[in-house]
Amino acid sequence: MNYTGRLEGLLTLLAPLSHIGESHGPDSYLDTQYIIGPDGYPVEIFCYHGNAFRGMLRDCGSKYMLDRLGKDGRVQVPLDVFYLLFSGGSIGGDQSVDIDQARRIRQAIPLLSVLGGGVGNQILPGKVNFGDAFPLCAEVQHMLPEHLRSEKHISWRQMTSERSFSRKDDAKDDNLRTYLQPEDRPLLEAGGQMALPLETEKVAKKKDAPQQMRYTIEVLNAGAKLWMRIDVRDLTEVEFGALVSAFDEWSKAPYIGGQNRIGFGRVAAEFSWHDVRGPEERDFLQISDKGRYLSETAQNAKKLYDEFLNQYTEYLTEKRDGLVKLLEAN
Amino acid sequence: MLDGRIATTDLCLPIDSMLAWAWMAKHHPDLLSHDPTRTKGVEIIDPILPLVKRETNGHWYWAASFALGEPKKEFRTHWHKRYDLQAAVEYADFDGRRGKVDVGRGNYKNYRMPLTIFLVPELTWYVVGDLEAIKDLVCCITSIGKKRSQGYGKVREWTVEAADEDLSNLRAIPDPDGDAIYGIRPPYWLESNVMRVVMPNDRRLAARAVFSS
Repeated sequence: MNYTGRLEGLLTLLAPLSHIGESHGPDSYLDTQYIIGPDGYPVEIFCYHGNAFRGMLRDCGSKYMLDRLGKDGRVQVPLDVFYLLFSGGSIGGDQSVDIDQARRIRQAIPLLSVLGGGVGNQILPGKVNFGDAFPLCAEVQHMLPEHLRSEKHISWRQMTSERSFSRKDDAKDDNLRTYLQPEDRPLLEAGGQMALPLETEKVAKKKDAPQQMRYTIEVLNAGAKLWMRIDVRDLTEVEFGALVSAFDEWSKAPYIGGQNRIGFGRVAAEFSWHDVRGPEERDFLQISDKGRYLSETAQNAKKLYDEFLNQYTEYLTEKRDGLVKLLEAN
Repeated sequence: MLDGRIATTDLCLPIDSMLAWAWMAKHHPDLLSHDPTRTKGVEIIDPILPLVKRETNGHWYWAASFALGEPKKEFRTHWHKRYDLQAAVEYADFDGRRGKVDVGRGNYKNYRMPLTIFLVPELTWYVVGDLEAIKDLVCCITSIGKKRSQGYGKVREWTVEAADEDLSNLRAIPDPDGDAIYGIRPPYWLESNVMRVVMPNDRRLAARAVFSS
């Protein structure tokens, strides 16, 4: 059975979202694009890039796969393979096409078949198109599914605010200065030798560079909802499971955008599945503070993928070189 | 179009090219997006499209126009590719050597690439062919233009219906005295399909927004 259709997602921001477009000095602003608005004319709107979501899911899917294959410990792969799995790879040398190799790669690494990449000296096309995520706002009413449309939706410009932060120079904090070595004292003893501080030009320049600053980030406010569409073409059951596994891994830390270190970008997510041949599945995937829920379709696909990985784990334990050789350039 | 954004350089957007893609996706998915000139042992496949073939000056092409529409805006955006340092700390094996990666050049270079986007609410094409078979092919086409995997060119819906007039000649027509060089049939990038052509000077064509500026 092959899967062709689309996933429609609704992301609810549980924290502000930072997704920077332009920066002017210490101030950063949300990324915007022009779209055709409800009146048929161009309108500027914030969107969270589909490419960003794609890259994030690629990371999550690769982590899921490697952690699963590692079973007793973390799997580490050579740099070329790492770059392929986490960044989509690159192609080098004279491009040529080896159809048999492409088929083998698709069978061996379903995630790579789903998201594509540059492998050795050929491009392996993916099977998924990630759309930008748009806020539920007045400017996108014509694009939304009917059940999400509302005349009460406000403009996206009313959903933003600016958050300012201070980067402190802790060297100037009297409470912390006790931990700072005075400049006129020797460094700690090491191996019976005393090292003296040596001020180079580089060190002097660094000392003069101001550490304290005030910076501002434009964010989309917590509570805003984003709608996105992901088109899926001709995925096998195992490949569909690989895609679900990426979402599963993401559900452990469901963040989008930047500044995750201060809690920005945390979301709750609901995805529905719309197969071209069948009825829609509203609750395909749900992620919230209560945990992660997968529909029966999603669970079955993921189970198939997990079984595939489990079988491959035993093979890989003995023949890891084989996997690497398959993926490396000729 | 869903949001109107199409990533393209010339707005020609030949419909026979999209139908050829859909046909290959259906009949030869393994060969999709592969360059046949670089593939050993694989012959070039001419998709069998449900369109009328025409011939001019000894060269054949499909009875399928370029895109007609009214672009509302052109702007530039960027897409990015970055080396994932955080994941590398955990998953990259440097084989006992110092883990240093040059992201300024070479295989692992970071990218910030410009992309030209046109805003077009609606596009129309004129073809001569089998209506039902064409409907069957276009239903697989969910996005058009470049960078479809990144969300550009999303199609809201296709409407395939009989037309009152035949404008399928609003496309590149082979002509040794033509003033342009362009492909005449899919794959449009294939060197043997590129030749001197006459490009129609019709204001209804979306490409006029590019060529006349």
